[in-house]
Amino acid sequence: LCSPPPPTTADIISTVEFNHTGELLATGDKGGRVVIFQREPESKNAPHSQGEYDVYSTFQSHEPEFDYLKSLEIEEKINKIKWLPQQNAAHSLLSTNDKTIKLWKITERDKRPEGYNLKDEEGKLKDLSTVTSLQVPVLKPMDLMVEVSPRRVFANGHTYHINSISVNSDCETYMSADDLRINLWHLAITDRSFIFEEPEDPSNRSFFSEIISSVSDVKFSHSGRYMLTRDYLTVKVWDLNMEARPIETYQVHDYLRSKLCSLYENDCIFDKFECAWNGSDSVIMTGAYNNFFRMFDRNTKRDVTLEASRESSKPRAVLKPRRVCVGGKRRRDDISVDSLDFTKKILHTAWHPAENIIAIAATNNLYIFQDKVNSDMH
Amino acid sequence: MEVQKEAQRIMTLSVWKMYHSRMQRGGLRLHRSLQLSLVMRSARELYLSAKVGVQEPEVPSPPVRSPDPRLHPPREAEAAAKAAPGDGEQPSPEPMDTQEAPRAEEAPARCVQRPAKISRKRRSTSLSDGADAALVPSKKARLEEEEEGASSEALDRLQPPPAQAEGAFPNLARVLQRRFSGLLNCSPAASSPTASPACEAKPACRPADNMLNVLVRAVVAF
Repeated sequence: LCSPPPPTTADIISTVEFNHTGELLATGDKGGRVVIFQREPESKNAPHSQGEYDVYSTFQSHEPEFDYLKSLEIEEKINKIKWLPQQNAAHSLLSTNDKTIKLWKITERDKRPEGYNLKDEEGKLKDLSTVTSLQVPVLKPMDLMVEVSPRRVFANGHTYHINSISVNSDCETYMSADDLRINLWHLAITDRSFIFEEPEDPSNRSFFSEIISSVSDVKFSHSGRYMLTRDYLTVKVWDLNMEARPIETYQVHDYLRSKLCSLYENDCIFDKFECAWNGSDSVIMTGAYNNFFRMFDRNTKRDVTLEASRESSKPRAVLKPRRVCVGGKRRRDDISVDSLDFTKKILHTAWHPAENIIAIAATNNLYIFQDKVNSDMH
Repeated sequence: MEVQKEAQRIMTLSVWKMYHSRMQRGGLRLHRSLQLSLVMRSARELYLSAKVGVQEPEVPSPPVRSPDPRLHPPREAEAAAKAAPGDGEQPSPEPMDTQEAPRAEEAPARCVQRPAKISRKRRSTSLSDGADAALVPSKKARLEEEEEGASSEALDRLQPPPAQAEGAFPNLARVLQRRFSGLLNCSPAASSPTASPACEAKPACRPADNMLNVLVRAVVAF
């Protein structure tokens, strides 16, 4: 189970987030860059290119910094991106590294004024003696230009490393959390809080119980009624009205339970997997190792394991379900636990808010899968 | 004993991870460090309680701890986290006490008996033999060290450390390397890609002679 250290290139995707309509998809990487994809409108000319995602904008959000006081380098890796609800023609998002949160405004420019009286086409001042008449500048169409500008920088708010941000629906406040504290930027008063914690199963005790029960991701359901949590081996659905225990528990890769010591050795036990709901809250998704990701249908209780890899993902190809065999009968395409590649981990996944489109980040590759089945069936 | 070996292996791993995490880009991660310290405590307590279980009855010992101290670590860690300095990113930079190298994994024949001095400080376990006293912090170590000189390890310690020639962590590097290769050779499943990390460790600012001292310091710091 030992594996070589993961690639440390700046292209490794560290976060993936759809905006509220699903039209835009933002990714952040270890190099501090943000790449935004836009879904092309479905065109009648090419009906099979059912709204594919193309690059819309790329910008450098964070740079590496050095904290001279603590003698620490501050990584430029983007830990989280969150879109603000759209209030006008511009899009806004928050991106954060370990220490600094930035608010970016994304605007489109597809027209520009022409026919200035005092300036020529390059912007140079005209010689006034050549001006013989006045004209009203007109807006002429131009090639679409996407402009990104930083509007706010929230720095020095955290002693520890920021791991997540969350925007309030009031569009005025958001939270940022580090390993110990949560900051509210624009204070909101709350006088009650609930603790969701499942009692430990004593029969499953090990050295690593605390580590594997650490929650690596939390997501509210779209309905607002449920909450999804991911820990190292399971995903759990909680009813917000009942904090005593989850209402559903799904095993993501229980076959790793006997390998925890090796996974501790190669640091994989610290991997923080994310989880996601589909638009109707009927299916939940999370990543695993070997570039596998898992989906669980809450209604039918069926689950599937799929792989995000170049070999199995030619355009328009249908993903084939995979299986990890844990002893017993082995089918032809099964993968054995010992041949799983632990350097290929799918930590970041996102589900389009309304449609069956998923974005899967596999190290430095982004896979976008669309469901071909008529969405009326879901 | 298998349980002891496993616990010791995990302790060693944890120490190394803690040590190495100081070098990583972006600095120490609080949550990761807390998790590591939890595992270290669990392993250390299991190791020590397993050790107590096989000790001879005539060795005087204070009451043994509860058999499953692992149930307690979350509260301990919480209390320790509160007690830790406000900026938890760096463990408190105290100079490491000189201690004799741990004997625990070596054959019982090399077990060195410490003089039965009564320390003013309360020890967390009953161990009074030399093998595991190194697991417990002791501020008297330097004095006791000079009085003994029985083992070759201790003699090495007294010689002028080759720190200047080899870099700031020569002894720790050797201890970690020896420990690691020894433990890993016993276990067929593991051949860590990071087997000799300490050799590549960049020199940091202060010498650390003993790996288990790092273990103890790191646990105390949290």
